[in-house]
Formats: sequence, C-alpha cells, structure tokens
Amino acid sequence: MATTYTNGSGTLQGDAHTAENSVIFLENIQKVYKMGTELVYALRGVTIGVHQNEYVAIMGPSGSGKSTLMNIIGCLDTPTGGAYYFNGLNVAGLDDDDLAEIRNRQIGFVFQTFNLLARSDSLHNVELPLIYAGVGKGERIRRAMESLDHVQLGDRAGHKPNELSGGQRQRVAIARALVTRPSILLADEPTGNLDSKTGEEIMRLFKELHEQGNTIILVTHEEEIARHAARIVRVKDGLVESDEPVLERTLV
Amino acid sequence: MKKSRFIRDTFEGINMARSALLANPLRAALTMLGIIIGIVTVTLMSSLLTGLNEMFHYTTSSMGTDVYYIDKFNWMSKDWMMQKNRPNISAQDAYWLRQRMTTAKAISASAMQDVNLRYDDNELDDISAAGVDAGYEITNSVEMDQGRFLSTEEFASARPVCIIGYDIWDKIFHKANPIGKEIRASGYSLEVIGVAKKVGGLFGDFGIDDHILMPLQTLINAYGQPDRSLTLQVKAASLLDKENTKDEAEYQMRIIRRLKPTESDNFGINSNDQFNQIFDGLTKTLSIIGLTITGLALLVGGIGIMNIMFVSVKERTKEIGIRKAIGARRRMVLIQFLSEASMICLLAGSIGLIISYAASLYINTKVFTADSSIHLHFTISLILLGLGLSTLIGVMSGILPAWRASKLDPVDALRYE
Repeated sequence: MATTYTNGSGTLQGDAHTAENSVIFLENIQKVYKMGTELVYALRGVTIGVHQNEYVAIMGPSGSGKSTLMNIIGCLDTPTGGAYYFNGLNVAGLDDDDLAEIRNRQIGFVFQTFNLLARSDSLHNVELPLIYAGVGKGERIRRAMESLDHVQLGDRAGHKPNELSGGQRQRVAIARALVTRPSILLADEPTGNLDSKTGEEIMRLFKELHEQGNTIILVTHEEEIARHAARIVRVKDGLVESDEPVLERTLV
Repeated sequence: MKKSRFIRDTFEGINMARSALLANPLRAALTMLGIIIGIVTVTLMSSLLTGLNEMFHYTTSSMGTDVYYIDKFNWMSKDWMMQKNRPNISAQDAYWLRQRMTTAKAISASAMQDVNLRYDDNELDDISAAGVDAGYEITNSVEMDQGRFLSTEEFASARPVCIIGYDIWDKIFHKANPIGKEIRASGYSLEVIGVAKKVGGLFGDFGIDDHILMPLQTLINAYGQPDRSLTLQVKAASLLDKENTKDEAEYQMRIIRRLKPTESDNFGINSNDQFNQIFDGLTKTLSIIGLTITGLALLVGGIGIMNIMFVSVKERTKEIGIRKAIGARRRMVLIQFLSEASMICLLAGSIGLIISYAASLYINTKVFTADSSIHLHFTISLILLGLGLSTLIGVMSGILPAWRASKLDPVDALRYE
C-alpha cells in the first residue's frame, strides 16, 4: 500500500502524489553501497512523486546522493530498499532487460556531456532508441527526422557530433531523448558543458517541451538553472531536505 | 513475432559491427592476418591431402582391384623370416593353376630382374625388367603406344625382344622411333618391338612406365636362376565376384601345394586393396599431423581476435553505457560484439580462401605440371569448410568479450572516460 504525502507543490499542482496518480513515485527509497567492508548510505529513505507534465528540479551538492537518485529515477540503477512506481508499476524488483525496456520507451535521457555516438551522424544517433525498440527502418527515419525538426536541426541530420556546436549537440541529444515519446525527460546538468547563452537556449527548449506536455526532471547543482523549473527538490545527505514550488521562476 | 524481432536485432547488430570495423580498418586488417594465415594453411593442407588421396586411389584403380597376386610372400606381413622358407612359386604352380581355375579371366606368371639399360650413350641404372607370359597383357591391362605386344611365337621360342615403358622411351630414345632398335639390358641385347602407353600415377611412375617387358623364358635365359620364385596374377572374371575368385585361387593353390587342412597357406594372396589400406592409413596420419598444425595456427589467430575484441570492448565502454542507457538490452550488445568478431573472421576467411585458391592454381600449373600424378584439389566443400571454420572461430573468440560487454553496468559504463 503506497502512502500519500503532500508537499509544497500541493497547492499549485493540485492533487497530492500517490503511486496511482504519479508518473513516478519513489517511496522510502534507500541505496546502500558496500565499499570494502564499509557500508555507504547514499540514500536513506527518499520519498518523491512527480505528476504528469510537472517540471521538477532536483538539487543538491556533490555527495548529497543526487546522482544516485537520478540513476534510480532513470532506471539505470536499482534501490536496495523502498518501492519505485513508474506509471504505477513497481520497478524496484525488475531485471536488467526489463529496466532496459523502460529506459528505452519511457525515459528520455539528456546528459551533461551529451553522450552521442561520435562515429554516427545526427540521424543515426536519434534513431538509435528506435532501433532498440524494434521499429522498422522507414518508420524510424521518419520519426527521427521529425524529432530533429522539433529541435530545429533537420538540416544537420547528416552531420557527425564533431561537426556540430555544443548547443547543437545537446539539441541532437534532446531529439534522441524525445524520439520514443517517453513519459519523462531526465536531464542531468544539461547546461553544464555549455556557455551561458547556449545554456539559455537549451533551457528555453525545455520550457517549450514542458508547455507541449512533457514531464521534465532536471538534475542540477545551479540554483539559477533550477529556478527554470516549477518545483525544486533539495537533497542532502541522502534525504530530501526540502520540496517546494518555485515562486519566482526564471523566465526565458 | 519473437523470431522476427531476433532476426531484426541480429541484422541491426551486424550493421553496427560493420560501421565499427570501417571506423578502424587498419586494426581490423592486422587482426585478420592470423586468421588469413590459418585459413590459407588449412585449405591448402586439406586440398593437398585430397590430392594425395585421389592420386593413391586413381593409381590403385588403374591397376585394377580385381587382380590377385599369388606370391611367395604376403605383402603386408611382418614375419619375413618365416615366409622366406616357403617354397618358391614355380612354373609348375602356374601351369596347374591355369589348368584348374574356373573363375579367372586371365592368369599370368612373371618374374622381375633389376638391369641397367644402354642405348647409344644413354644409360639407365636400376631398371626393373619383367619377364612375362601371354596372360600379362590382360592381367596388367597393357596397352600399346607404338609397335605391338609380344607374340605367341616370341614367348614360345624366348626371343630376345622387349617392350619398353613410356618414360624409358623418353629417357633413352628421347622419343625417337625405337622400333627395331637394339638396347642392352645388363649386357644382354634386346630388340625393341613396342612402347607401352603411359599409365601415369604412382603405379605408372614405379610401374610399367619405368619397366621393360620381355618373355619370361628370355629373362631366365639372360639372367639365370631358372627356379626363381614367380608372381602369379589372377584377374577375376567378374569384378563383382572377385572375392570368389580370390577364394578359388587360394583353394586351388592349396590343392596344387597338397596342403592338409591343418596346414596354413605356404603362399601369399595379395591385392591392390591392401595398398589402399596403407594409403588410407598414411593419409589419415598426414591429416592428423597437418590439421593439428594448421589448427594451431587458427587457434593463435582466434586468440588474436579475442584479444582485440577485449580491447575494443574496453575502449568502447562509454559507448556501451550510452547504448544501454537508451535501451539496448543485453542481447543486443552481445549480438553487436559477436557480429563484429564473426565479421572480422568471415572476411579474413574469405580473403584466406581467395589467396589459397590462387596459390593452388599456381602450384598446379607451375609446381605440379599437367601430367604429374598429384594435384591440389580445391573443392566447394573446402570453401564451405573455410567459411564455416572462420565463422566458428569468430563466434568462439568473440563470445567472451561480447559477454563482458553485455554485462557492463550502465552507470559505471557511462561514467567511464
């Protein structure tokens, strides 16, 4: 039985989060690593819920457990305790291949270092998730082009990452994240490797995507970037320190 | 549904592997070298073995497997000392056997003598001269290239005439007309009346191509030892019933030799099948040795591939992390790296096959000439063997690195720089 909790966003977002009404719902998530003989508690019981079409920033200094939390939300890692409901399905106990399937279809990753395949052109990078989803070639190229057009890079389909600027690379990565029409976009310091002007462009793109109905989770350590979101979850020492709406959002 | 998904995964995996190989062609080429060498040696070795085998069998079949040789000795036996005390095969034995046999097409008696041949200034040492009778033409399937076979009259009066083998004609007459010429065989003068057709093969080389034939009595008159042991050749009336002929020959010889049922044969009955057995044993031994050596070459090649694949997995840890993050299941990663290894090997195998095909053409025309008795046999099954073997090596050497790649933890792999 999933518990219900309310947070500061309650008044803005309406309903309180439950496993049933949230896209993602983490309940008392714990992660313990074994380093030699020592146990390291990365997460000590984190409870967070995110509704459809929310724009949430997760903030925290390094060592706060922020990265571990992101890996668990992204189904790249599994928790050692607690329950994690993704669209109502508890994914805490799933095996590698099931998690791969969820990452493939439900989660769009945007990384700080872009993480594009260096040898492949933009089109191939964007169609890659569709290859793993088993989509046929014609359909794949059509959707990948659509996705590239969405980030205004339709004319760069044949360019390889080293022929693109940092901002363009990140937009290819966003096109790749969007191509499977995932339930959430999970962005890890998406502006960390970009100059502030380009970073602003990317944040504007996120805002547009949010307005188009996408659910976005932004992981960052920069207050300024986090304030683009509607809600900030602060993590410290493996616990949620605060979870409240952003009253004065940065508008781009 | 599930099957088509697997085929598509495999197809995509092969595509990814292809672009990975194209990205690093020099390394791929160097890696292939071991497999190329391995496949070249393995295919050349087995085409040589097939060639040897074919030569042996062609040879023995040209000699006829329906001919039995009644001799003082059993060819394959080891107790030479015991058999030495057997009575010689005599002209009497030959006479009575000819009288009694009912299932023989022909029976001949012959004896051998080493001679040196001279004609003009040309001399050949250690040539086998065979003293034969009329039946020899049939039992040994002698065909004439020039002139004629020995006549009844020449047999009866032991005339000093001879037929020479094709290679002998080549060597001492240099293919000039030999008919009517006198040659000297260890000092004994013989008139050449014919040249036997070339048989070729191993038996040609060590047989009639390098022999001279004369009437048996002429041989005895010239070189003495009238009681020398003869070889009787019995050609079966029917190839299918040749075993009957063999049994009958043994039975009749026992009667001629007046052997009691408790006594064992005091003569040997031999056939060319025995050679086949020896050859088969020989080729088997050669195969084992040859294939072990070439197998080792392939093993070394395979280890090279495995090594390079481990390096490749290590280098592309980040790439594997990205692929896994965006949804590659373990199987896809496995297939990708497995196809990469298999493609390297298959490509190397194809190159190896092309090289060894070219080499076998060269060897067959330049090293072995058209009329030599041995040829390399480059067959379809050899091509299939080469391709199959190289794919197998690819899969075998790729499985461990691919497995390691598929098991990488996505978080660790993404963090890898």
